[in-house]
Amino acid sequence: MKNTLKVHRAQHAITQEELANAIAVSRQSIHAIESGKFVPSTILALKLAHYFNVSVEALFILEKRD
Amino acid sequence: MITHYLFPHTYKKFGLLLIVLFTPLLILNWIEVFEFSFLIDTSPMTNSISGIVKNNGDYNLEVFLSTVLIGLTLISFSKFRIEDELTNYLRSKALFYAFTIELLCVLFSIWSFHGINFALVMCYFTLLPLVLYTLLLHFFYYYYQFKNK
Repeated sequence: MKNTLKVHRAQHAITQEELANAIAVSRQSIHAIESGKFVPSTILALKLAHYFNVSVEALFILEKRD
Repeated sequence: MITHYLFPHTYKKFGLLLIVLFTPLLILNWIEVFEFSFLIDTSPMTNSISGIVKNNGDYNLEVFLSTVLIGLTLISFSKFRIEDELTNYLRSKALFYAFTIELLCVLFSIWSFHGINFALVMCYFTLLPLVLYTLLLHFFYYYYQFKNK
């Protein structure tokens, strides 16, 4: 699964640390999600989507192999 | 993974302190117990240290070992500074690998040098998690299947 978290974070000009603090997770979690090593739960995906004011589908994109 | 029952984060430091303090004593005590006492300097200056770690019919080895195990337990079952989904995932992953490696070690020990008597003893301590895991996994699976009907 691809994600556009890094792009949205860059558009909002916030660091991983700031995003992590805003949604109450660790900076390592944000890094792991951005690098595709960790797939977040629905709750965390919704929190991220709400934070950037976009839909979950705009943040996370399914690939053919998924 | 349920994290409500984990110790607070500060307990991790306490566990680390126990390990740092008691692991050297445990190692020195093992050297003494397993008759490698020539490795311990017996000069007057170190007599006091030697007196602490010697197993003079007391339960030093058991006390040191238990304290190190308590320290490890505190470290393993204490929360991280930020406990979130990633830490839960990593906890489950580490537990799975630890369980698998331990099981392989036990099976190898039984097969290679300890024999079937060791297997009978280990059934109670080590193979029990495998039995529990299998039973619980299937219980949960069929429970959810039954509930969805």
